[in-house]
Amino acid sequence: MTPSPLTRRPAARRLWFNLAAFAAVVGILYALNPDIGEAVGAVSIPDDFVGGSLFTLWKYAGLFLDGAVTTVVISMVGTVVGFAIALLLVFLRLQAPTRRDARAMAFLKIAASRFAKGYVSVFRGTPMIVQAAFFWYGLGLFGDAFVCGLFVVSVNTAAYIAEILRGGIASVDDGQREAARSLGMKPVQAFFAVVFPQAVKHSLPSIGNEFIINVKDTAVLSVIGIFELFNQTRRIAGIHYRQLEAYAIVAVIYLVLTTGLSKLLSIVETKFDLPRPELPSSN
Amino acid sequence: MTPILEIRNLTKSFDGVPVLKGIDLDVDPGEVVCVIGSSGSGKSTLLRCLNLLEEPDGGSIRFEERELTDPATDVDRLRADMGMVFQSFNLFRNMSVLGNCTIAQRKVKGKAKAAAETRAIQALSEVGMAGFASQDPAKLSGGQKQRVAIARALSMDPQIMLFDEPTSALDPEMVGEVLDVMKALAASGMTMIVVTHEMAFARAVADRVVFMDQGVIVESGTPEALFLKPQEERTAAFLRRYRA
Ligand SMILES: Nc1ncnc2c1ncn2[C@@H]1O[C@H](COP(=O)(O)OP(=O)(O)O)[C@@H](O)[C@H]1O
Ligand SMILES: [Mg+2]
Repeated sequence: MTPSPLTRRPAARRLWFNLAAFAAVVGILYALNPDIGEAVGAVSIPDDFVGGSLFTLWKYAGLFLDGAVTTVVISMVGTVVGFAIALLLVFLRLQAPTRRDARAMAFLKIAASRFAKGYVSVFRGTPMIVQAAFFWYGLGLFGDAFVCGLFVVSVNTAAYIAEILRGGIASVDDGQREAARSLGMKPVQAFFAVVFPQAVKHSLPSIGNEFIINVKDTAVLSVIGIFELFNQTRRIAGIHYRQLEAYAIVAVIYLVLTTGLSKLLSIVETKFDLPRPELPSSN
Repeated sequence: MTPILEIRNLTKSFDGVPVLKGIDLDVDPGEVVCVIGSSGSGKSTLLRCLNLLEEPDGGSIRFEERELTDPATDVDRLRADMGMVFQSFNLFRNMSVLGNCTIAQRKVKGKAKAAAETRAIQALSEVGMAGFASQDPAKLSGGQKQRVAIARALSMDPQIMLFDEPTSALDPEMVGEVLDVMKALAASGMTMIVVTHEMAFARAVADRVVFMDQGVIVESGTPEALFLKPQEERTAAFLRRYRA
């Protein structure tokens, strides 16, 4: 039996929809400016929007690509390093003295927990653009803006992921930890064998969202002179003083990146049977 | 015979409210003690204090000749000798049935994978769940989950088993299969403390029944003595409510 178009699987329907949309966009471009070949091959930038956009995209594709790669690399490294720092933060945050602890140990645990709490408040409570300027211009610890950018995104993302992980850990019912303890496992063993794997599994979709948020929010690193996608676009826009075309193109590139990565993450989530993510919210 | 477990004047409060008000209880090797009493009387807290899931405020717990409340005692090592079965199963959701029964053997006792699995399968056979070794616990029925939880505890070769209302979260048709496993375990000579509302089980299996009310042991004795001739009015009142 051949499936009717109405009962086609959603994936197939979506593919047809996308193809149709793509054809429509190409059609409109042609209607507005039939001579695309002339636009991209022009010696000077055409005056109209479509011609100017095609010219800019064609001529500066390499620069856009450079910026996009920088953006994705910083976002990805920042998310991975941020995750590692977040693990440490959560470990510190969850320290709580027990009655068996000596006084010095109890004090250390309280201090560790307070530190992690303070860290999260500071990095979630201040804009990343301020953090970037603070570390680059203010402290001047870094010789290389790119390294400073990686650092800022990492320490910033760590604060968000720490909270995500803390929620993930809280979502694992305490009975499982108690059962592990009742079998003789030490707190660390119970945590890493039982609680943590479940917490990470619950947290992964939200951590993926942090990655996508980073793709957008790394634009603020332009303030310390990193040529990520946005700053690169500013440079391109300055060459011919055609702001509208340059920023329209970069908006589309960002949109393609974020939706593409979303799609990729949701495929991974389905494959590993992860819970659905919460809706992304901007930092 | 020296008791395997000696509890003396055990006290515990939560936020200044006393929940255990001086519990004394000895358990001999091979003995099955059933603890009954109304909800909130401190039965769970008592069991949880025994393996220090709750830290007692005062008193002493001697287990295998060692004082559990002494900060110098290696509590984790002693816990491994005390199996605990919870009302809500608390199976590890990130592991298969077999994983549930091997993880502690490997982490706590340092056993090799093969040895741990052999012991686990043996324990799973005892509860009739060996055929489910590779299953995800989430796919099991409540009765099956609880039997796996019992096998998980048995895999550690404990000296005593603590049960906290192991059938209270089960649908009625699954209570029997879990109680049967516990009966077989008792018959095999396992030392057991069982908090339960299953009076028929207590009657049939217990060597001794302990009635708790408001943080004290009101009365204890053989099932016949306690169920048929309770000495205390509070015990009689509780039993009347259960018979009705
Ligand atoms: N972790 C806790 N924090 C505060 N109160 C508790 C805690 N655990 C138990 N309680 C209180 O202690 C009393 C005895 O509880 P429990 O030992 O669970 O009784 P039972 O198992 O006999 O029903 C109850 O009033 C309960 O509310
Ligand atoms: Mg209880």
